[in-house]
Amino acid sequence: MREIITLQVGQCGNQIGKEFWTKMSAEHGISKEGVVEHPEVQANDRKDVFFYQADDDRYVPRSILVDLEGTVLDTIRTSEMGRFYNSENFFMPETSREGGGAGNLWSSGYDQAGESHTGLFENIDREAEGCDSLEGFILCHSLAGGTGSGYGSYLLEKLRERYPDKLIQTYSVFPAPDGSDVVVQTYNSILTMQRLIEHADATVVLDNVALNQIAEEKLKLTQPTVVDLNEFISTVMVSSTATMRFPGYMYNDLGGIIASLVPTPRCHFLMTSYTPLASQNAQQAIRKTSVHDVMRRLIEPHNLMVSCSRSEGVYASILNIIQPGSANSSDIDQTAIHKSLQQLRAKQRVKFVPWCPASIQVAVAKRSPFIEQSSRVSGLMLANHTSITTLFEKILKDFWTMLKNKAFLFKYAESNVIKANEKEFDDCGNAVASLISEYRAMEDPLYGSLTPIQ
Amino acid sequence: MDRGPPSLQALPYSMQEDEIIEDFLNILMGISTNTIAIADLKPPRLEINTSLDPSLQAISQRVLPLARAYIKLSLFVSNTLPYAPFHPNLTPKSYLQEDSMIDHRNMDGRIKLCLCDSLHTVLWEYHCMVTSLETLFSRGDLKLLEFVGYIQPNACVPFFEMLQNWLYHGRLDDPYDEFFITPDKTHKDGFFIPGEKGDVSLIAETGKYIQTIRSMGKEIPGLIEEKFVYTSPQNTYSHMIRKAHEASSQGIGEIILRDQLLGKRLWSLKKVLMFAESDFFVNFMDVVEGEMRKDSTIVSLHQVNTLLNVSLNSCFPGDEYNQDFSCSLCSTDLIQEMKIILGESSRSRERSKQSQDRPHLAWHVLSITQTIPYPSDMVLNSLIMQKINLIFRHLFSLKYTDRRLNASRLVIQSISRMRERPSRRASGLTLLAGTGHVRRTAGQPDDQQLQAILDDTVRITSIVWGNLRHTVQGLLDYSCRTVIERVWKTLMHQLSSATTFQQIYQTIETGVSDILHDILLSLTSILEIINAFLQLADEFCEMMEFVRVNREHLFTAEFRARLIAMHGNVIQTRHALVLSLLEQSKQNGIIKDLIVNLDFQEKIMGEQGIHRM
Repeated sequence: MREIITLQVGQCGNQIGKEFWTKMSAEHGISKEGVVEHPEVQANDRKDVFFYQADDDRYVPRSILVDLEGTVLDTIRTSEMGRFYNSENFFMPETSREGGGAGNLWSSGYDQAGESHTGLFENIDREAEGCDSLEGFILCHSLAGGTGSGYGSYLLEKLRERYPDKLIQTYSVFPAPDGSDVVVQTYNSILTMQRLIEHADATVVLDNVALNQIAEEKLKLTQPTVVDLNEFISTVMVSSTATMRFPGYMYNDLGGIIASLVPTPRCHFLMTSYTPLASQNAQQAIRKTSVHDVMRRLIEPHNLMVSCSRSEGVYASILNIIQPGSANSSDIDQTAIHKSLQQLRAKQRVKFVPWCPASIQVAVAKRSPFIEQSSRVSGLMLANHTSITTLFEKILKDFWTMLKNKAFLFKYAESNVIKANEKEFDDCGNAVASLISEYRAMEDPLYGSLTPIQ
Repeated sequence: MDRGPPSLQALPYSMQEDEIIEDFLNILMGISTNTIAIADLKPPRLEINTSLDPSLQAISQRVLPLARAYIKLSLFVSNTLPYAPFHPNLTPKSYLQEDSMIDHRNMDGRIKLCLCDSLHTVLWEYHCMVTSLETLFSRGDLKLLEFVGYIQPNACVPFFEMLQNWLYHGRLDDPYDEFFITPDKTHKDGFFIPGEKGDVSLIAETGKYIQTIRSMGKEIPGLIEEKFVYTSPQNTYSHMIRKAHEASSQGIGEIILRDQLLGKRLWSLKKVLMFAESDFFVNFMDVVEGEMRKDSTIVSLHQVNTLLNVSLNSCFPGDEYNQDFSCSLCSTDLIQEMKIILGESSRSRERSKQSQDRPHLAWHVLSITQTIPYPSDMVLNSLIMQKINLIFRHLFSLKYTDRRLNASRLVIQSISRMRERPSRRASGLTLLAGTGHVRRTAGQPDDQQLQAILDDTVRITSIVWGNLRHTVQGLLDYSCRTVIERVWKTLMHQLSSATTFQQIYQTIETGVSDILHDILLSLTSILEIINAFLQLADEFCEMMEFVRVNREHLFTAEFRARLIAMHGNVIQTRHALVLSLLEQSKQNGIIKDLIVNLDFQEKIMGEQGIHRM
């Protein structure tokens, strides 16, 4: 079995992770204590990808929770899901127990990771050794604060070094460019992005601005909370792993999914959209969901969970994961999928890179027998679009401005990592700039040409 | 020793008459006797012993026309019709294996059992013969008519008893091997394929169904026994046979469907051999990788089978059919086998024969099949399993290529990570390229030049990889989602309303044939292109495997030239593939779905000035 270990780092990472595991346990019919609730139901699922069975037959998530301050971890530990996780996998370094947190500084998180990673890797190695054939890691974190970004960056570097052949996929929450209370979030983001470019195999970009907009405009929530937004993110995570847990004809392993979405190694930043979205706090709108409705909505800009303009740019890849509302998959008609693809093609609503063949790839995932959805069909789009650079450009522009003015740089000055490489900020800024150029170059038909070496 | 005829005149008249009747019956069987001798066969000429009493000679003379007619018809039957005993247990396996070429060539249509056909002809001729005799008699002597009218019904009694036992009880009560159905102990659990239905095949099938149902301890509620009587009109027999056949066929159909023997078995075949839960192959290929990379002649099949079993139990724990799967290695790869099946010219047969002698990697000739036990093999017989096997091998070859391409992606990824951060740029790349053969215009290339070479390589290998994978994925997606899933849905729907064995069999046979047709047989004219494409993918993966170990090669002009050539070949082959598909789609509309996948932006069709589909 190709197993996946989930690493949730920082406050945001752990909150998303908690939602993710709540949904995962429900989909597999596992109680909050890890017990299979309906053993008589034949689920045809692969619990082993994300869970392992303890001696007492309880299902335990292959998950490690990391934070530099205890609030969120304590909340999870004392919640009804406290017994769900392996208690050894709650990791908070000794050094941070008193001080608490990374102070929203990437460098603090990174340095603390450097000091404490041995203990963490004991946990990671233990989990990895418990797998038959570990396929890779999923990292949930945010880029704004100190732990998710700094600790997450160090973790990415070390994971790549220690597990060079394993895949690393991240669910990275990008900060809103304005209106955030973390003044150095731009630095944190760019410093982390360099690690994401270099070490991650795929990064699912989630953007708080876009999520807020969806909550307000689509679900009519007047004041969307973090819980609402985390629910969206966890829905995306759960759906994007559906084909691995309820396998079908294709896209049954992380490698297959990533390979379908990442045309060149560095351009691996993915955007998502999901329809129909629901929230506990929102009223359910009555709507018709056919396969074509879902396929059409998925490419509409306002359903996108990244705030970027798609009026320009082209897709490098699209993978739509379509799920029926119930375990009975008769609602998903193969003919309807092809009809929808032909309609989208005829209307030329989707433009792809000109140098390589591409099409909307569709995976039909089975629905868990333990979950009934109100909609007949739901869909997740994972896409690689060159306009994601508009988000990166905004962040990079702020970054260069702040760096030019040396704003708040003193906060990073004492950090070991910055001391070790005084051009760290420039390097990271250039790495992001180079990524943006590469994405832009992908729009050019000449991207596919090559001249011989003279 | 004196073998001359005894003097009949010495006997009393009554005994003389008895003797003549006995001799007459022998003559009907074609045996010369003391009183009437067969002087010639073509045409039949009979001679009466002149030493007989004149009155007896006169009587004998009167029955000679009947004897001549009878002999003539018997000769016709034995000389012109190939007679073969019908084996109720004859399995199509042996039949099909003996002549599997016919089997393959007729995949589009239903396979006819030649045996059934010939027997049907025999029965028909027998019917003609009887009718001729009756016609003859109707013009002749009333006494003769009375005589035959007595002989025939009585001669039919044992036949009707045997028929009745077989038709209503599945019992073969034939101590002297006279019945046209004989047991064949070598094929205990075999069965035959429903084909064109003559009375003979219906009779044979009915008894076999009843045997099967009874062996499972079940009864057939709809089967009501009726008595065969000679005096019944001819069509009554046919009607009775069909009624019994229908009842027994329904009985067995109900057992197969109600007991869900078939449903579970079909799902097991679909999820493994038709990739409906293809994560199994991800795991299986992971564990057998080491063994399967070997040459097919030295691979340990025992070990592969053990690993297959481990993978099955890990993915489908508790599935009762896991142990029925086994691996084997075929003598040819799929493309060669398809050529043989399609009966290409003798030259390609020769080529394929040569290729059989060439060693294959075990991956290319791996086959997995499921042993179907009795009674499920009544439906899932060897013909259907052979078709499923071809479907499996096609899907497996695509899946295997996809797997290799995924491994190549990891190599490209690791090459991409060789990019060095400007501030940390040391002499890493220079050192690496130092062993290569980059022609430099002036001195050593600087890091920036090397980085540019590396970036170009990553870019183009990614593009070549993207072209290859997109096509392989397109073919896989078309095979699985468009064809298998669509056909399967129809198959399940039809199966839910099927009641008789014939309907069940035909539904499954048609479904499997449709899948095979749409994913393989309808694409036969472009199999060469698909093969060429898969070979390019193979070559590309080998290139990547080589540079994974020999990184310095990335910087050589030779590698760049190979890459450019590969890029061109891949694009060219892809174009050829799409255009051939477009041509093929005129015959088979469903291929359009594959074209939509492969040429979503209509680039190739646009380039060629082809109008939209």
